[in-house]
Amino acid sequence: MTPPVCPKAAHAFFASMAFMLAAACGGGSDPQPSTGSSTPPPPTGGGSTDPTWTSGVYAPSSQYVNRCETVRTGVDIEGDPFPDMAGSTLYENFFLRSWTHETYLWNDEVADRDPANYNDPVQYFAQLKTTAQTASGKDKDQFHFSQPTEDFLRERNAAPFASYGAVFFAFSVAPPRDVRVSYTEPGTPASEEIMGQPNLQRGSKILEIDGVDVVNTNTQSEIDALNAALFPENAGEMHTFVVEDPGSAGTRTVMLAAADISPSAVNLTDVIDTGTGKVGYAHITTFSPYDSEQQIADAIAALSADGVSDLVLDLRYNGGGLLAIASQLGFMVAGDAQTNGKTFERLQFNDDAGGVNPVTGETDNSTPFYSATVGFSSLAAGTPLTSLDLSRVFILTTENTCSASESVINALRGVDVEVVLIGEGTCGKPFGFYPESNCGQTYFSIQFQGVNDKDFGDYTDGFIAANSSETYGVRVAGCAIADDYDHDLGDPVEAMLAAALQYRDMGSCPSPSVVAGITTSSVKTAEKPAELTPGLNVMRHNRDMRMPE
Amino acid sequence: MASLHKRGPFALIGALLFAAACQTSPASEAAVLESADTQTMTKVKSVLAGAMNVASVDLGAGDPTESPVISVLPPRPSPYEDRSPAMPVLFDLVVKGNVCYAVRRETGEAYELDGVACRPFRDLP
Repeated sequence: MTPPVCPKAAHAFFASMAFMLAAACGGGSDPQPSTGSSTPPPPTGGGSTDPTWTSGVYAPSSQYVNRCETVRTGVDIEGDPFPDMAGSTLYENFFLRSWTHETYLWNDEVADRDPANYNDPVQYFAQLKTTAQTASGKDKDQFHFSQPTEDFLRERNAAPFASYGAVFFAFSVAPPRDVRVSYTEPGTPASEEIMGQPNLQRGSKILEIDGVDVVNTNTQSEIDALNAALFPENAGEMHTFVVEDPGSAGTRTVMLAAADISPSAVNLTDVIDTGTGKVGYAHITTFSPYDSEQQIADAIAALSADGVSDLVLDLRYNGGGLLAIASQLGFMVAGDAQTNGKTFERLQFNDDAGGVNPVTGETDNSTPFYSATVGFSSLAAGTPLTSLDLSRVFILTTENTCSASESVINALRGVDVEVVLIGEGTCGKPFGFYPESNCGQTYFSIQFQGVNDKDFGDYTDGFIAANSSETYGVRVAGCAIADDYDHDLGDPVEAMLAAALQYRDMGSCPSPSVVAGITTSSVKTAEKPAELTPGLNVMRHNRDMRMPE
Repeated sequence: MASLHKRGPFALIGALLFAAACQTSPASEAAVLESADTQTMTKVKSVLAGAMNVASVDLGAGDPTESPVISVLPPRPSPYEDRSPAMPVLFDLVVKGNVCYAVRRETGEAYELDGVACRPFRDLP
């Protein structure tokens, strides 16, 4: 059954209206002051009886929450008091067991292990997942992890951060290393031009930093130095890079000073006049920052004003973010006629949840195609969005096209917009979670799967182009094309964009010989984003959310 | 209905104006803040933080002296939340008599904005 469109929002409207009408028309009800917290009081601490394990029997997680081995006092960095009460590692483990049973998407695939056999909640949590595999043989759940709550809070409050404004990608992390610039942010130290030459450009190969050989060094101290230079801690840090640009045999030396930078959601837009119509191009790197709502809305409005009749969405480095903003993009592509009354994405939970979100308790878990802003950005909530009203869209992808970014593909297919996929297979993450903090550790456990208006959401091996040589994945019309580091993004001869334009003109993909004609050293099938050392991801700006295996 | 909710704030404003028109007793009606100075906004944020059960809140951009809706932003997604259903929480500003309220749209709960001056939205030029 197709869920109703945004009943949550409708309820919200009616809730307010009911209140207003009653007050205005003699209904006799004054505004009802809230009693404040609807959260039940925490259980009293200091229980004298430790919980005991009975296989298959789960007490509510609320019985164990915040009963900590080590009790924190005071407030966290957001000013909220720590909720900790005296408890134990056993209580923490029992909380994880019950919480997993209540909320984990595949809760019936988790072996029930005695919490008393584990003396570390993090280790116990690591066991609380399915061990099933996808059709391709990869783990069904590659996303299960935890981190200290202190880090979790610091990371989500840490924007902007020190950076050069360049996104790096390591094709090889072992000697001989191959670290390239994927793209740069406009108006940053990386993109600053010195005598007409940007400091860094797409495809620039990093050969040396501060005298350390990036390609060949094998000492830990030098690798640490490289990581420190690639990911500066503080604005103002200065480092010297030796780079080799694509198509150049020579090298350049550039000095870069880190600055506090908030990455833009829209890196580039352009209009390509093909002679058979104007094609809009938009490189959208994320749906996470709140101002991405306005940035994307402005970008599409500008393309609409330019009269584009087709659109190439470059999501090759877009790792996802806020579903609502992804949904707005879906609306702006397809328009009201194709999306009115349709669901962008509906969240599905474990079978025991009975259709109720086991985390929030909400019964409506559908994200509509939002046709207006929702209040994230400086555009007032309810500001109508411009739509291109397209029946077809070209989407450029790589393995870094992930999660909410894949939702755009899936949702548009769900309302019969033709999605032409140009590039590499996407990452295959139709899942999401609500981070849960308990006793100083924040746990990420898959709790929902997103499905489109046709109730489809099984793309755990990603979306792949129709002519892909990959065995697994959901095949979509389009062309398998490797990422082309020889050309700038948005350049009509860049391999993916060129393939999109050809497919638009002729309905065919470039022949393998044409693709092979691109400098092979700059055309790589992207490997899994890699780390020079564990903990420092080269793809800092566009993370692959899967954890290292 | 879909078009109504998609244009929620505008539809709401219409309903509020209607409500104001048919009042028979001191009525609630859509309002805006008299001022958005630091002192006022500190009070407003304090009330809304209480409504959200958190120590502090960030408000979405927008001028509450011009718009009868205030949005409370959810916590920023952490770097690993790549499919976040988080949404702003909308509060409608309402005045009844001389008392200003923030009404949580999704629940209808009203929170008095003690010491904050409002004026009817309809009085805006």
